[in-house]
Amino acid sequence: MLYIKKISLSIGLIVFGSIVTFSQNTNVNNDLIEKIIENIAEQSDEELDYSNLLEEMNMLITNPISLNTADEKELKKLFILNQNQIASFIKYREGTGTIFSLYELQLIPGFSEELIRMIKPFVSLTQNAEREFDSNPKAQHQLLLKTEKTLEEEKAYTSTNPNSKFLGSPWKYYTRYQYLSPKKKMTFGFTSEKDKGEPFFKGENSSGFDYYSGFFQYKLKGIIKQINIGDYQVKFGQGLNLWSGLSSGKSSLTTQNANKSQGIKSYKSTNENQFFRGASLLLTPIKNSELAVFASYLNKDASLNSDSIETSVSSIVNTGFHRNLNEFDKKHQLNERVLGSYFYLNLKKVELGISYLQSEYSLQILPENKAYNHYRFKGTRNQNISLTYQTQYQSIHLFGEVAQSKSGGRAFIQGANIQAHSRLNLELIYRKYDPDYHAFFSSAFSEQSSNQNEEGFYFGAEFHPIPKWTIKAYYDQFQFPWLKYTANAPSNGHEYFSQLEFTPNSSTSIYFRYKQENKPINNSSEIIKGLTIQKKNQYRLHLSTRLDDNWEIRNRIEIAQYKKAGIKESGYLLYQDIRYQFSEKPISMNLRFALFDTDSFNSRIYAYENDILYAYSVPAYYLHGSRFYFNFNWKINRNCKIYLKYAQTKYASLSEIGSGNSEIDGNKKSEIKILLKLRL
Amino acid sequence: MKQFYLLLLIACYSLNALSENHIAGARSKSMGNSSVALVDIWGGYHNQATLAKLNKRSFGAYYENRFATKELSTKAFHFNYPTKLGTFAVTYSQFGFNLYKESKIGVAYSRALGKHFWAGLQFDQITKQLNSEYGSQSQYTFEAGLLAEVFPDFHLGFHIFNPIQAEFTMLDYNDKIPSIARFGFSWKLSDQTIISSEIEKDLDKDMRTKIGMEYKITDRLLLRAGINNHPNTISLGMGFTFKLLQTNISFSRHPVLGYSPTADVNISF
Repeated sequence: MLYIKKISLSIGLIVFGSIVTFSQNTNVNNDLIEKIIENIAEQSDEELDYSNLLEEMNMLITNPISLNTADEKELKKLFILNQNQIASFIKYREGTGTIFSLYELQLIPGFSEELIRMIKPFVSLTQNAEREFDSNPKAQHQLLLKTEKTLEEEKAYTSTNPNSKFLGSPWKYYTRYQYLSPKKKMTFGFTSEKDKGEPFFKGENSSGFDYYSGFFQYKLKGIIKQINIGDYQVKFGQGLNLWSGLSSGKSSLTTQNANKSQGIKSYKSTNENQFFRGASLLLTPIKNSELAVFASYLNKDASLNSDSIETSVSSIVNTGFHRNLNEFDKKHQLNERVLGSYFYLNLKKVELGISYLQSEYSLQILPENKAYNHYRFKGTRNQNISLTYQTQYQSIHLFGEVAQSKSGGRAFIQGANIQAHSRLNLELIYRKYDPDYHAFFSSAFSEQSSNQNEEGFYFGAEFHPIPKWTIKAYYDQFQFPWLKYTANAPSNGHEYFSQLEFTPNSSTSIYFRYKQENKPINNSSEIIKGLTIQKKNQYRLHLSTRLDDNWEIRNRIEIAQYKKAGIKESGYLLYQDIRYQFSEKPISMNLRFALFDTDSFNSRIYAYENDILYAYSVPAYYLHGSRFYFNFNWKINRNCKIYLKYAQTKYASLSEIGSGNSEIDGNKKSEIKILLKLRL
Repeated sequence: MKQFYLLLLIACYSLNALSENHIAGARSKSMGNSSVALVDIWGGYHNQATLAKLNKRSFGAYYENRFATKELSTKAFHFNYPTKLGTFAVTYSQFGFNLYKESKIGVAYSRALGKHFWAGLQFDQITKQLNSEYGSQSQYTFEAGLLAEVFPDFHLGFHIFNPIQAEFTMLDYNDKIPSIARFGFSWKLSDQTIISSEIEKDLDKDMRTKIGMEYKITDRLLLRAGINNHPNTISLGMGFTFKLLQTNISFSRHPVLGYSPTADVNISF
């Protein structure tokens, strides 16, 4: 009897596992992805490529981490567990042995129902033996082919100005290939992309795509651990010195702001600047340590200063667009050579690390001669050194890093995550970045996009006063000791966030959010430009639920308020998402209809959108009109999946959309995207 | 000239000193001043009703160096004497320096009104003393507080200060003593952790919200943090207990004026 019971249990687990793999892009996953990327998107004006991040998440969905066998390093890959939760989980598992049900996890301090709901898609409860049986010893080839187009023609395609006329077609093409060897030791692949408007197999791009990227990664056992050739990223410590690529900032994951070192990883995205190109070596010189050395040689886009005697660069351009002659003039103007290294040692109680980075540029970097640029990096060479540590003492996780750049400027961050009670998690972070601290590859916790000219205190809390209810809040107070582009004087501000969340069952979540940001910025209306306080309020009510096996819905109402020196604006957004999953066929569809009405761009509202695989967008909704999109995903067979998206925004009172090059006649803007995923 | 500037500065902040009703106690400070429902030996400065829950005599001294400026410092003392009839307490605090001084003497009585309900009352003498040319003046007022345990380990507190709106009458203007009402809770989640929050309304000012927490790292060491608004202030602090002796320190940070360190030393016997 017992034997039969065991078999049925393992069958149950396998079925459970396959459901999880099958139901990608469900509400839960989307909610989580939204939580992670929403804030990155709001802080950046550029369209970012999240594919590295999202691929990791999708990898987890297809190969969930086994809670019964995973070690600390594996658990760190789960985006939503902080160090404290990992420590208490391991302690719990050591005490009780095998975990049979996810609901069991509620007994662990810091694990709420909501958290369990979030990690559910990424974890499994399989045992060691079953895992062996499950593993797939075949090599995998994966090919992604993507194309997209804005259906209405932008003015730049027919422009008479030879410098701004787009030289290519309005189609975007994207190809990505990846090979994964049977035991996942070796991976290699390439990514190539041609943005909308960029020439393809003609003109400047005679070799086809505008952007090419390739990677090769090999894992070994022994002293040499990993070799990377081609494009890669390094993420180390708290990110004061070495964190190329995205890192999430303040978000509704209010107590998850400690960066988790990820070491060296292949780079597969299309952000054309945030990576290293060259080679790297990862070694294990002594037990429980890691030594990395890497070198990079990359040509970057830059705007040149035309009026100086010696050629110099005023700024590095991150858009990656090369659509017209103006943009081609900036392409690959600056050569960057980077040498770097880090060493990391895991003593039993403390983890220590040191990193060094040196970068050299082919041209002088000379930012525009403005007061706010006074402390900016100038010259051709920069060096950074940083020391980092983290330690766990009882239920306190301490982490920090201190760094110095060639200029002598210092940066310092110190944080503590405290599991004060099984239902209360707190996080405190203090950071101080000198105005003359220069780091080209930093991405540590901060209010601004760079780790420079900032000091601040952050308090975050997550509290579960009663079962099914969660309160999340943070308060961040910051000051900028030197001027900024938007502030002609040293300034200070604060940000406040709170969210009340109700999770009545595993398929439903409702939350209310209030967010406030106060920041002084330049007053544009006066002759003497002083500072004036800009105040933003955000109220959001969000519902997301799975009605049955086929239907899921999401609703949102959001109000934004904007105040600045006499200007008072408000904005509204309302949307309805519907998702349908066929029971018989591997087809899923989702649809959004959104209505928005805001006074101007100032009171814009960001909302995360479902997109085709590996592409996620968080567009700003502003002015008034409506938007709908339709997504269609079809798994034709084991090796072939197709993703389609059609989106259209219609403005109520515009006769042309946008301005300058991107102007479109009429009041509609629509877009189509097609992606084919092939496994060979 | 230097003195003139100083006076100007003090004119700005003396109100600030009064507006908080001479709050003292580094524990409360480090929890964002959200102490209306917090049982604390410095309760004579926060909510006298909480004193009834004390079961040991205690004496303490407190020093606050506001914005790290000597002239804006506060010195305070308290003495609590619990008896079978209730707790008697005396408090004394002093703000300023020889050209401008404010002091407050309080005599409090607090007792239980039931199993889960406590009340306290305090009479105050507030004295303002300027440079000898201007002399000094004293005013009398009172404050009162209530404390209720609505669920186990969950306390609600209410406190009013100067409900009679007493004020100093100067030659050409009236210097108000603020009238302040506070309402809030403290929640003891476990023996290790307490969270507290309150709202404060000064008759003439914006409503303030305060949040604080305390976490016992070991039996001897406590960690505290808090925030409040108007002005936006964050605070951090620690407490050490050693036999009869208890000391607390705190730092709070004003967004413009910077840090204010405070410390207190207490003996319970």
